[in-house]
Amino acid sequence: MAVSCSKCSGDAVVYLPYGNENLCKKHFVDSFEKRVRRTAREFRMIGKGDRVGVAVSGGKDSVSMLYLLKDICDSMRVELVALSVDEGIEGYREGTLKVAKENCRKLGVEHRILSFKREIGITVDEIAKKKDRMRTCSYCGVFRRWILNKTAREMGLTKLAVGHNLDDAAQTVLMNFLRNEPFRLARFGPSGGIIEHEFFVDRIKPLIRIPERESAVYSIIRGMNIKFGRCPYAHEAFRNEVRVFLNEVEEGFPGTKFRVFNSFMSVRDVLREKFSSNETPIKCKECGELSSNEVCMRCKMLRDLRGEKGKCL
Amino acid sequence: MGFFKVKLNGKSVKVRLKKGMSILDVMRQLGVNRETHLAKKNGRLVSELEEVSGKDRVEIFGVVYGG
Repeated sequence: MAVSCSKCSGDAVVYLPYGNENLCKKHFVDSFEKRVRRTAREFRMIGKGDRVGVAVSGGKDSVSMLYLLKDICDSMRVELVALSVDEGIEGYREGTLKVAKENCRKLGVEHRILSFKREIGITVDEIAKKKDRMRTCSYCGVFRRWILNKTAREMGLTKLAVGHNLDDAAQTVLMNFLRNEPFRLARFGPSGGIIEHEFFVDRIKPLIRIPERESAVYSIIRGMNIKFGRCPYAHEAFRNEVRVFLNEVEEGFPGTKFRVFNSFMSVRDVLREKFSSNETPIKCKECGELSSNEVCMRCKMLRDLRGEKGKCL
Repeated sequence: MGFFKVKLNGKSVKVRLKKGMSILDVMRQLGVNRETHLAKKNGRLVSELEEVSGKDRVEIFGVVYGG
């Protein structure tokens, strides 16, 4: 016999251990959407007059976020554009970009695909072949953020929505503790940016209270045709170690990820006060984007990859 | 009670059948973390507390990979 929904007599499609609840399709979708809307409202993520860019990789989180933001933006008459980045990861990214494209078409959302090769001059596969380098994900993250911020600003977007979920958030909090980098933690959060500056487009994270597993359930129920695959370089990242650890703890102690995130939120203001920087960001002398140093991280990394000291692309 | 076959990430694997066992029991036998996997029974997405029998078609698939 099927397990019944905790809210009605329908068949449950998911069990949420942290709330000891079984939910049917309807009640799960209602709960998921309500939580995302509440987060967006609580942190004032979108307002009248905004122009919102959604970073859509084609994975379950970003596509689920796209569906929700489309609804929210339509109801507020706010413009929405989808941005995807092709990092050049053969056998992985082509498939997810196809999903991003199909879902944008289905929803009638303008979609722009940017690429590492065009914007940076090197793909992730090419980076991975280099010797004496950092972990691939370090370059990928810096380059992707650089492309997205630059493009969003050039397009006149006021917000950039990223599909960071609760798992990502709990991992980020723990990683910053494990690395003893509280100043980074002070800049982390559901909305806003690393800094306040006209060159920096505010990032918003509407899924920050959604466990990753639940965005998978939502994407299946809503028929988004997501391929559940893994980036071939993900295993290299320190984040992966933290992910495995957190999932093991969560299984034994449901609600751990929420507690990690909530603990951070309760001390966030204190962290911000203690580690706030009075430095005014400057423009990188090589690419002209914002930087805390003369040369930004993107340009430093490119120099490093090319074995150069003073030149950039 | 013998064994029955389930699909784990598309591959067929054997599971020891116990009376009244749930999807969660299947996941535990296979060493699969419920935080990173979902399950379908006879083609339908189900709660992992759902009971299974040897006649059911059970699929368990990973959905949390990172990257």
